[in-house]
Amino acid sequence: MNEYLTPLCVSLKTVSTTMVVTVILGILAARWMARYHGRLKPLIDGIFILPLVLPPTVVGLVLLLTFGKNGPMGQLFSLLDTTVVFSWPATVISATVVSFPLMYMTARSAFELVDRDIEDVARTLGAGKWHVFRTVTLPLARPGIIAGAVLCFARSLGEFGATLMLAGNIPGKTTTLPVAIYFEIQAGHMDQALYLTAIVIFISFTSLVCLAYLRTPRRKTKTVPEIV
Amino acid sequence: MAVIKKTSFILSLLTALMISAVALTGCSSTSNTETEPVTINLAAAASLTDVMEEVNALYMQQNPHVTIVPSYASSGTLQQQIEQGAPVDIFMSAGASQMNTLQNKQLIVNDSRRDLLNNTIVLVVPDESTLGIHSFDDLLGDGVSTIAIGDPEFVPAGRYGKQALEFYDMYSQVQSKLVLCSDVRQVLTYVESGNVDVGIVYATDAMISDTVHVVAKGPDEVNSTIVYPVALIKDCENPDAAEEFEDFLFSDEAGEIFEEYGFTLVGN
Amino acid sequence: MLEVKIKRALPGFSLDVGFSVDGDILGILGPSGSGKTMTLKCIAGLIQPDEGLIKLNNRVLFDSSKSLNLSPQVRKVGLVLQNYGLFPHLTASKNIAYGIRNSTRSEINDRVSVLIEKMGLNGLEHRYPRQLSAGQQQRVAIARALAPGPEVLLMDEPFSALDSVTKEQMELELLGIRDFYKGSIILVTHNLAEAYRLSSRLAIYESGRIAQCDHKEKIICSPASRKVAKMLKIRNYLDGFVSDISDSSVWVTIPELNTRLMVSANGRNRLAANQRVTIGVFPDYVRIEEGPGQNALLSSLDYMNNSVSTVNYRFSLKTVSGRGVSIETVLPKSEARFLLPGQECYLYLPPDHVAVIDS
Repeated sequence: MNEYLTPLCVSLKTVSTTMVVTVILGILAARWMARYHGRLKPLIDGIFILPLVLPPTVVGLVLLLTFGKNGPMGQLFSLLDTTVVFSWPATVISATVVSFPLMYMTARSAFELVDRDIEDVARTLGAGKWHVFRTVTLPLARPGIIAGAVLCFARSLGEFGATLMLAGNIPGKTTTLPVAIYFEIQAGHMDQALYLTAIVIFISFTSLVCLAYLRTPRRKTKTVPEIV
Repeated sequence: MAVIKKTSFILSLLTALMISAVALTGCSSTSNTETEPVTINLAAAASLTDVMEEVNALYMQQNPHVTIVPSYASSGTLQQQIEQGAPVDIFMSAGASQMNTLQNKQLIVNDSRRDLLNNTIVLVVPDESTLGIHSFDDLLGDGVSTIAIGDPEFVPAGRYGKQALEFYDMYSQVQSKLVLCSDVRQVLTYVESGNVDVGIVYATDAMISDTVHVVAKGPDEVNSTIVYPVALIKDCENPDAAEEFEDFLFSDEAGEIFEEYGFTLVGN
Repeated sequence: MLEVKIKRALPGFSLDVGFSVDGDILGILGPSGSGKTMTLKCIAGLIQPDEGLIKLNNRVLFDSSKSLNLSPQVRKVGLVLQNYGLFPHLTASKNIAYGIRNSTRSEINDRVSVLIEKMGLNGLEHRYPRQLSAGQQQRVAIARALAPGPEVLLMDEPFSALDSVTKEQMELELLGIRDFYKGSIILVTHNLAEAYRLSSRLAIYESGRIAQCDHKEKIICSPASRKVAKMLKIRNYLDGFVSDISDSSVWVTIPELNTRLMVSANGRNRLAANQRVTIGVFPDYVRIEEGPGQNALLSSLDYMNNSVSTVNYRFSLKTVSGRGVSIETVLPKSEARFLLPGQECYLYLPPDHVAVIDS
């Protein structure tokens, strides 16, 4: 039983943490870029979206070079007496990097669709930029943000290539469901692999269904018809 | 009128293409017709990667009509591929159990199975390591946080490593530190990169790398069981050529190369 | 009192305007792209001018010489945009309450109910914008802008998206809010009639500049230029020069017609003897007379055609050079006369309604 529970626990921990991090970072980055029209915009945009078009193993390699012993971030962390490679936070880092572009792109279109005029008027009504963001922009962009979170969830749950490179396969610590499935297959344990696969499908399906319910706007009783 | 012209144009284009295709294939066949060119598909354990490259090169030099196409991976992976019908002629495993499985499934030519090499399990650390690891006991220390090892489920070196740890009664204590790898070469890479504190590999692997060094040897009780069997796969494409190659593996010339790389020959 | 004097340059366009509003309604009239909306956004603090000064009731909102630029949220400027800009995710009440959320719950409720009452939105408090008609949305937008008690109210084409019936009603309501909102109002529009009905003063915009800014009657009588006159839909232009100026009357000689016309004395301060001017008259003011007289011009009918409730006429005047000069007039059907093409009659130009345009 343990060989199913442990990868499940690791995956759940990783995915939930990743979602929090990615959603926050994605919203902030999207907000910035939706209203930024400087000359560097295509460049910054490209950097944010890059992990989406790179093969996960390439992403993993870049992360390994960055956080590894001889990489810039790795050396920074070793000053703090910690290593990122082959640790649980590495699973969150890999999952965040690969799912960030999805969250960012979805949130950005959602923000761009919010009418600029509405935000302007809110400013004249005594609201500072952040207050407008909280009370006007975010609520109006909610469907897009939820869609982004769903994509982030799906991508981080299934993340394999980069995770394996950066976090490795340490059962109980960094072995997520996809990594566990891969190694079970390698070992020829088809039954175990199938059980784990069933768990992944179950989690994904139920979560997507729940999120779909969250997305449909609550329909108050239609006593007042909408005016066309 | 136009339709007929178009059809005949297409027909002549197709004919031209076919002729050139046949001509090209004709051209690519070697003009050397004294012995038919032959390909041998070799599946060899990852730990044999470097040594087999040299052995293969020597054999091909001596037998120009032979091309050896090697595939290096963990023995467990190769065993599975053979089970799934991969076109392998000869299999060199790093452990007996993989060969046993194939034998039980009647996938090898039983008579051809011979034990070729011995190897030993060792602990390696990166050259710049300051952790002061000198023995397996040191693995229990707090200074060691990550130990790279092949997945015992399908990597022979990993299984032997696990047996070594169990022999020293420390497997359960160090289990949470183990970083499982898909083959023994990956273990070596991890140690070389310095991203893990220590790794369990074959002595021959440690010899390949010049940025890691051996700090301890595994217990003799485990090391003595490490054996590399070789066997021909049943119903392979070129049984005769494969058999000739297998014989070569047991020749003195090949033996010298194996010893150079740190392997011990069975029977020595 | 709001004082504005700002400049802003963009590729292909530059804004350079200055005006003030003191408790009245100023109509900003001009074609699309002339900088009207940009001006409002500058006053609201949403766009920063390159240089200039904006002062509202002795508070400086923007001063380029002191690098002072207050953020929109502290300017106390009310803004109503063309598409109303209502928050789709909030009810009408919540929309109105948005600008006063920092008061106590009871204060907010009181203020919102007062505004709902005054803007005729009873019963609609809990509706969302998509459940309101255009006119209702407009009223919510105005209530929302007025809730925090702004010192100036800016309205950008507030009625352009409404049908004519609703438009009329909304215009009345706008004049009605003067009961409880005494601050200055700036109304941007491209519709002359609307601007004229609602404002006391007009600022005519043209390519980022103000062509004329004055009381509406003055503008009508003495447009600053031909362009302004065209925007006001003054027609019937005749060129001439000022021949006589006195306290009570101004005379303009029209060489083409070999006659002297008495014109509006309204702008006599700007005129000098022998100054070249163009005079213009609204077709609505030209009358058909039986016989000759002062300001009556002999003409012959080109054509007449019927509109819904009026009849449009076009006449040709007899000119010295023989070149045709047209005069158009419009009469309500009740007063219209049937004429045959070529038939002669006299066209009377009432002096008070003859605008004098500087050439």
